[in-house]
Amino acid sequence: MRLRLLICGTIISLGSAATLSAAPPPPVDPSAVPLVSNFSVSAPTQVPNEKLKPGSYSITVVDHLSDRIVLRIDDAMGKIHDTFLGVPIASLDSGGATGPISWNSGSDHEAALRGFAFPGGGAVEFVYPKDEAVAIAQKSGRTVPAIDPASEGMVVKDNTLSKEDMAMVTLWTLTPKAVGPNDAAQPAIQAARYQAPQSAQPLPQQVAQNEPPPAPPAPMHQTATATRKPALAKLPHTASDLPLILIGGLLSLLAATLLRLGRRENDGA
Amino acid sequence: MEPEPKHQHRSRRIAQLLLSSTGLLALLYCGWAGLQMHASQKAAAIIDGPASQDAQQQIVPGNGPADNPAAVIGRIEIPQIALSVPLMASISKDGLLRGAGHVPGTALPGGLGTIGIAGHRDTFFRPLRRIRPGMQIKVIGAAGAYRYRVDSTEIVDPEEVKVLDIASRPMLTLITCYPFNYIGAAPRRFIVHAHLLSVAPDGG
Repeated sequence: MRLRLLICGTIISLGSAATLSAAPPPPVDPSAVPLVSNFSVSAPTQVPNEKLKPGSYSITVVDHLSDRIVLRIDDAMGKIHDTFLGVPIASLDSGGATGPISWNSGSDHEAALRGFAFPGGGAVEFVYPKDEAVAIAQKSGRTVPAIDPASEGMVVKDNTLSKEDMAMVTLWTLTPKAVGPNDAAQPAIQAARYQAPQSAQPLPQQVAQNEPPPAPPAPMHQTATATRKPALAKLPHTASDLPLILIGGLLSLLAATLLRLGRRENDGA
Repeated sequence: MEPEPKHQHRSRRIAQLLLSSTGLLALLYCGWAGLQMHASQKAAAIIDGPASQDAQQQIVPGNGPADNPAAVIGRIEIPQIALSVPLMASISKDGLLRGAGHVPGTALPGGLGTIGIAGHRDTFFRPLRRIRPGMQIKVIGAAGAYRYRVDSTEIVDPEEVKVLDIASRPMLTLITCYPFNYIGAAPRRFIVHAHLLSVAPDGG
């Protein structure tokens, strides 16, 4: 009996260990991503909202939100080029190297950046505006994170969303998929809401280590999942007056004709 | 038969005149409305994708499409129920007279989110009575033509604005009044839910 219990216990322990070792690596904690990193590009390179000219740039983590990261690219002169969203991921096929990571499945679209691997192992995947994401997904055949601010009534000014909109805008993933016989040459691009990694719990409000303690959390840090204001207070009233007007008009004409006939009869009499 | 008194004769004549004028005015209004519908149908027929930059300008948030309810921004087609309707920039009375209206604040055709489109059940959206799950809806906008597949229909109260909420995939919500045969302001709303088949426009 003891021997049987011992064997069972050993099997269960070995099973648990195997399960643990087979589990996927936990997603990167975005707060662990360093704040600034330098990189350079040797050819025109697409990043969200903009194409970078060859040169040296720095990428800065501006803010960590609940399921997304706000990034900024500056040139060597410190001029802000682009502010956009990224999502933290565990690995980005960077082969352990740090720096920019391209969409590298073909020669004609190597000039688009998929993300950035920061020194220390943190990686961020860039979120592209819908049209750019569709083009990248079609060329690379891979899933691309995307946003579509115009479809949420958000105004993009100077290629950048406001802080509030960056926190609110819905994240999507676009995946090329053949859904019909006509898709053999040009697969459909299916969209789905972006699912934050399981362990992406509410992050510590750590923006920069060297800044004074933050004030009470600003609304933008909580609003990625906040309730959106409905587009309408009530569904529109969609009954036209035309049928009533038409019926009323025809009845009026009928009544007028009857009156005229009655008058004629009286006049005849 | 005694001849009709003069004052009665006069009042009958006035009544006849009033009724005739009312009837003619009503018919003229209906004729004018028909012409407006025809004009918007014609404008919608030439919208055929990315070339229509004017239409794209009109629907960009902040450009005030709601200020111009007569702006035709696209077309909706459901061939299986012979529905082809101009898509207007707003759901104002004027906009809904000329076609189906894009609900402001909802997604654009083919956009990531839920696009809301409302139409009169007794004019443009009358064929929706025959819509069934599985049918395809083509929405042609300034950015191209997008296809949606009908998932379900439901009847809701006007307060149920959650039918326009962003779902787990891009959706299209068609809204019209219910019951279809009701004369006047119908108390409920008929909703069609459809999902986007591809974020890339046809041929895009």
